[in-house]
Amino acid sequence: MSRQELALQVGVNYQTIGYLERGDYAPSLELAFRLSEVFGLPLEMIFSREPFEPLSLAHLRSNGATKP
Amino acid sequence: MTILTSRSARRLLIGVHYVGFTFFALFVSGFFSMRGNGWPAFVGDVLIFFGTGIWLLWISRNYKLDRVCLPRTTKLDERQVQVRARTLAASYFVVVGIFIALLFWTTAAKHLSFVRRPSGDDWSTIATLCLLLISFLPSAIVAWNEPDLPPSPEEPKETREQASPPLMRPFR
Repeated sequence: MSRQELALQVGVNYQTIGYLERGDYAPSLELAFRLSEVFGLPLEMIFSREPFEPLSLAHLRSNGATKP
Repeated sequence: MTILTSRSARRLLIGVHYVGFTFFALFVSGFFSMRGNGWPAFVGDVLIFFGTGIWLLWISRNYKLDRVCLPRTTKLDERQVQVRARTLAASYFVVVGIFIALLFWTTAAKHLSFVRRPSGDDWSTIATLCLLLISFLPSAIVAWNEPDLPPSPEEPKETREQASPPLMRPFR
């Protein structure tokens, strides 16, 4: 999915999506819920106050590895 | 209309604009101090002010600084509304600051002998400078403050991927 497609679906400018990705903008609750609906994921899986763990680490952990 | 994605390029452009405005105001000031009185001077003054007005009108219709960082949209989204509100508030503070500084100068000149009293030519220069600076102030503040922009979807795919990583990545 491109920024432009996502921006159209949630009703914002594509630049705002870019700023969201980079953490330069904190969205309103309304926009956060719209993003959550588009991705079909709960809010806490899209936004967090702490940096997300890299997916590779989570993947390794789920496979039983103790170290990355 | 070219969108300048780099903040440093935008800041350079704003600096050039504002230095140019200052030189223009100084030129107008020199013109006022050299001219005499009577009809030729009156016609010259009118031409200067009308010329400045027409120039500003032309620039405001054809060249907007805010477009170097915000694309022309019919509807602002929530982030752009926030940017506009912050910019207007900042512009208001700058304008009030200029008026307070001028008030301070005139008050000081009235009571302190070593402070020069502003003459009519000084006021003409100040008016010209304020007209130029304030006209572009909100646009300049937006262009100055906006961070480097994400690449445009209209750009070629290779350029976009070089400038920014893809939106979704399975592993990092």
